[in-house]
Amino acid sequence: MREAGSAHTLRLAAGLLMAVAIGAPIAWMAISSVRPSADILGHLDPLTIESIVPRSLSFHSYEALVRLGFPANLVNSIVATFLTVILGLAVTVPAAFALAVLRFPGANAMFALLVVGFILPFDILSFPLAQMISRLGLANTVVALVFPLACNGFAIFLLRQFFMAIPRSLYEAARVDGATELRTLISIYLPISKPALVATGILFFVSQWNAYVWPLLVAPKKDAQTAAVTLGVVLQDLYVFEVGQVLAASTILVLLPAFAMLLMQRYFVNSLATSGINQ
Amino acid sequence: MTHTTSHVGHRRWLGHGVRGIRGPSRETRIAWLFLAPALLLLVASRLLPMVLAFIASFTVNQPGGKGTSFGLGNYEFMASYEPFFESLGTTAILVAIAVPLQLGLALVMALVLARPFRGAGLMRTVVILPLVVPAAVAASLWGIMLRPDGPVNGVLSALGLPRQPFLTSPDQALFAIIGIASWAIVGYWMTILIAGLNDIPHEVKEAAAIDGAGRWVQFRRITLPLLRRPINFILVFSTVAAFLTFAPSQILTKGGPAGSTNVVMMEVYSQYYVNYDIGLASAELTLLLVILAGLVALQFRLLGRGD
Repeated sequence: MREAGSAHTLRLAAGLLMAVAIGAPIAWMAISSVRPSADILGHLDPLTIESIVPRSLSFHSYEALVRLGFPANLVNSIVATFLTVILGLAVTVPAAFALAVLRFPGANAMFALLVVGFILPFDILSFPLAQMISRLGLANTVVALVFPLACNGFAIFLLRQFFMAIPRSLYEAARVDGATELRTLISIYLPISKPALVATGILFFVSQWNAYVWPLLVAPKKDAQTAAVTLGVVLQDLYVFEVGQVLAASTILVLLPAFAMLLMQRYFVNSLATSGINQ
Repeated sequence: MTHTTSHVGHRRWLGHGVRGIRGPSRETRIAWLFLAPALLLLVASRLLPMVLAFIASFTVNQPGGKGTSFGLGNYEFMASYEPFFESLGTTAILVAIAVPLQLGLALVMALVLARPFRGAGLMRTVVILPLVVPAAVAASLWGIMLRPDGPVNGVLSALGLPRQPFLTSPDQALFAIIGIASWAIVGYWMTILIAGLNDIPHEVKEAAAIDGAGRWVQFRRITLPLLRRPINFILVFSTVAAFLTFAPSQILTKGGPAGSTNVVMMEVYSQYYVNYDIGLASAELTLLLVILAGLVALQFRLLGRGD
């Protein structure tokens, strides 16, 4: 069914409006981050072409961030995010495999416990957990940043769903041939589960990179902070507040995952197309 | 061990016997081994803090630093502690506005962008871009966008509209924060709805069109009922997300001006990190957990119903 001309125009206009409303602030942020400070808010009244098109470029905001030690905080974020993805997969893959493939008493109860337990919003539990971590002397460590985010109800749910769609005859055949459960998981299940693994990895990536409450509470020290916390606390300080620096830090925090997602998305589509067991 | 060898061959041939003889107990042990790390994390990062908060909520500091006692003191204090109930009210308003706003916007966006047309793919990508925008960035960016001398006011005055104080006004700050939170998340809800729309069989819509159903009737009678599951999901998770709004308040307004954005997360944060009243904070937190557990239970009832 093709749409009538007017309906199509309406759809196009509405779509454009949404894209602008959501995309414009991000575009403005990225452009402003490479303008001289005075230009960022200096050409907004009245609005002219210069409000969005910079006449001169300047990376002084990024240079200032380097002087403030922001790169170290960025490294903290990258390390924590990387470890969260790795540890998250290492924890949820075997768990989901056990729940989907292995037969044992209490499997359904365990599934419910894990999904409900980890879907309960962690933000609110961050406070008592951060107190406990401090008392254990583990505040401001990467271990503390990573471990509560390395398991996730959605991840277990997603992986279990995927493993359950794989015919159990594969598992049984491998077991009969003498492969252990671990070997079966690694050699048979993982190679055909790339789409689910990538999707789960993205889930862990986003949960750590976007995190604010937990890193704010558990890693407040300047050199242990994640970049998001530096942005939310240090750069917002009234005495050092610089529009350009805030926008530059924001741009870095958005561009990095956007780039990573773009890379993974392609991989995601490819693996969706090439894998799958249709026999 | 010739005896065993022949036995194994026999078992393999029988197939089922393999599990029958040594299967269940071994498989059960392996299963628990595989589940152990996840269970360990569940206990260490979710159950333990819950229990600790629960215990702390009953631990009352004796006046004059004479140690602690066990009792309902924190709850009694909380019951008459107005800032907490004001923050609950503020949060309730936030939830009551943000949830229908986000669902409505996401639904419109999904209906517009679900169909393939020239540029739809690019528009969808732009609209879900905020998914990779961390909460701290959304807050920081909009804090600047909404400044009295910021671009939003620049656009308003170019359109001949009066400039607005937004985050600096007790009447507007909460709405500004609702806007910021919604901007960051509607693309996600839209993605879920588009997946739901794509699951609706084409024949169903065509049959309705042939029967002469108009667009509105098609939407009301076919599309909306078939989207019930994704809509339920969004309702519950947007409620939970809105209930836990924190970053914009903490970064931009510190709960102000005049307490107008002092949401519950901000209130608990202040008790822990500004007033150091762990007992009161824990009592507040326990009550909030009960409310949230109710919401999650509701979620499972909604998701479990039908289909």
